[in-house]
Amino acid sequence: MNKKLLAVLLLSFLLIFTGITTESFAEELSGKEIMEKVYNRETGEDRSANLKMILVNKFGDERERDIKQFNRQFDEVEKKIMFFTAPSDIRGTSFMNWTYNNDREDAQWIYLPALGKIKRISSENKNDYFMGSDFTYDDLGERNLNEDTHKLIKNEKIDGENCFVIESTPVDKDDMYSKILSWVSQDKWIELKKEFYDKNGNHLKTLTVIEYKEIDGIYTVTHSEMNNVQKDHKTILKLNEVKYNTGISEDTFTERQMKLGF
Amino acid sequence: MKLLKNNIITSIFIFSFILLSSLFWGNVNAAYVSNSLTARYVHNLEAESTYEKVLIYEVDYEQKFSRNDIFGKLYMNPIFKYDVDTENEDFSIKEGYLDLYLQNFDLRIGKQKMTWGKSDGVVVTNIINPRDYNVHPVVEYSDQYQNVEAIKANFYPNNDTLEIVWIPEFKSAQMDPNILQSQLPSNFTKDDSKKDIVSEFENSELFIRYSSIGQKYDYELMTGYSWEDEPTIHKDFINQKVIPQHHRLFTIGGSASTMYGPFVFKGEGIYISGEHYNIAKPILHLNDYPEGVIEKSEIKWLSGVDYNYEGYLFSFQFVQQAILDYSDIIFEDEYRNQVTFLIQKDFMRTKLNSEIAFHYNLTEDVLMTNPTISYDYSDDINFKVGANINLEGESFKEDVIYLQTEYLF
Repeated sequence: MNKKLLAVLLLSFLLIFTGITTESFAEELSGKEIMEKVYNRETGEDRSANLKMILVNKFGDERERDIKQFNRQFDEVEKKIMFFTAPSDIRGTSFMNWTYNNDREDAQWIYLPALGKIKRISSENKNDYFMGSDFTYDDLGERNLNEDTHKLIKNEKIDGENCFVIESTPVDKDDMYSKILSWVSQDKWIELKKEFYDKNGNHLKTLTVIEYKEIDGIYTVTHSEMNNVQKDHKTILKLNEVKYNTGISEDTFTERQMKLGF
Repeated sequence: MKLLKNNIITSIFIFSFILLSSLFWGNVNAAYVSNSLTARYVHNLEAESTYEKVLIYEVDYEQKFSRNDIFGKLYMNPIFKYDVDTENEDFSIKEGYLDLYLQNFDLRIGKQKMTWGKSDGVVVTNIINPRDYNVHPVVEYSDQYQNVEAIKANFYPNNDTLEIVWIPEFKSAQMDPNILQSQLPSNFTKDDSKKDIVSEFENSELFIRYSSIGQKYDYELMTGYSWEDEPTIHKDFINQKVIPQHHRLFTIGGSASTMYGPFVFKGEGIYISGEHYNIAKPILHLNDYPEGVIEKSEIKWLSGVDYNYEGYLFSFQFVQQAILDYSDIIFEDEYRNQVTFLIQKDFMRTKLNSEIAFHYNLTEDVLMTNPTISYDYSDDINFKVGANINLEGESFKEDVIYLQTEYLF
């Protein structure tokens, strides 16, 4: 009986040990697998938020832009609409973007109240800076996972959080970045810091997450700064009144809504 | 009572406002008010003298209402203009309307602007708001158009838009007196007795548009039953008079735009029935055309492309007007062509905006240019410098350069 009991205990120990070992091997993820977890983490079916964008030049002069934003993921397309609410010279302007997760071209429009009409604009402006900020249209959206090759280069702590450091190299040689370094939280799968390098391999700008919160069970960056080290200019992005899964209807992303505003 | 009799739309507007105000009383949201003060100096380059020195005070007032699932908005945009040299004062309501938003239907009553079509700076299907040819210099593109008192109803089938616009009282284009004078034969006097359209239901205007936006392309289909914005000049050879007269027009057309890489292609076309044209040598055709005017149909189409490269926007448009069933006795050419070209670029993170536009009338060989540079010193203060210059051919407008400071508060 004692031998049998010993055998059972030994077997159990072996099974547990094997399981633990398998788990620890599973945690040794590749760069691509880590970025997959970042891209595929829960972000809700829809989201609404108030954005405050503060542009700070090298003299410390500030300009503010207030934006109300709605976005929703549909089967094959993510639709986003932004309403500019301040300052008064851009109030009433709206911008809508449909981003497809297949081969279809993205579509985007702008409504300028002074002209009173909606204009289709080229969606091949992903490298253009958004409203004079340090964020490109691409930075504000989500890069497709396959746009870059991803390599895990090290582990590092940021503000006490264990992070994977991933080097992402764009597949397209004409991309405005030569590489992007991302510090990914190992348990929350959000990027806490990003460094962007220009075509010549020089450090261009750094995105730093100042604050994030868990809202409706979803980790959300509520305060971040993009610092262009070459131009000595930065953009502070603050989100408030963030709401997830409120059932934003499809008719929010229409010609009617662009004209009516928020 | 006189006001109510003479101005149908004003009456509707006032009654609607009172009715809706009482309905929504107690459900009024905070008002939004924005003011702007603009000082503009315009210099006449030909006479080398001051063309205009004006101060403009403008208010944007917006008040939203709500009750259950119904929302409303009152919008007023009064504008006060003071000419420093002549001490002339001018007060007007640029836009003023009442909105009602329901589940799948919106209503707007009052003075408003409606912009149709995909083109920029030229008129093809954008035929609702009449032009004001007296605006000079053109600082804002929209200033060239007069807002009209109208009732606009929008329906939204399948997230597309069906827009119906009813204009109870016809509003004519504001003509440049220099152009009118040029059309006046010597020894003829002007008789405006037939110029005004009597304000009654039969003389109202109706426009309908169906528009849709989508991943591949956007399109609009439109039709209208309206009056000529610019009157045809009829002649009375016995009494030696010219008699400006508006005619009924029926229009049908459409526009579309699509994207291919960095290019956005756009097109517009319209068929106009009921256009009237002057005869080149009316004395020779008095028996058939005693007033020196002939009726024909016309088509007008536009093809254009916008191209983005390294932050620059290049925009090119070609427009052609063609008189159908053309007759050689008509004063105007069978085909009238024009091209527009625009380059835009922002600098200093959109603080500095530069733009140069060219408009070339190929038929009359007239080339105009409008360069503009504006600088946002802050979110409240903006400086702008621009010019309206005739580079080729004859223009009725003087070449001018303007400097402007705008303060928003």
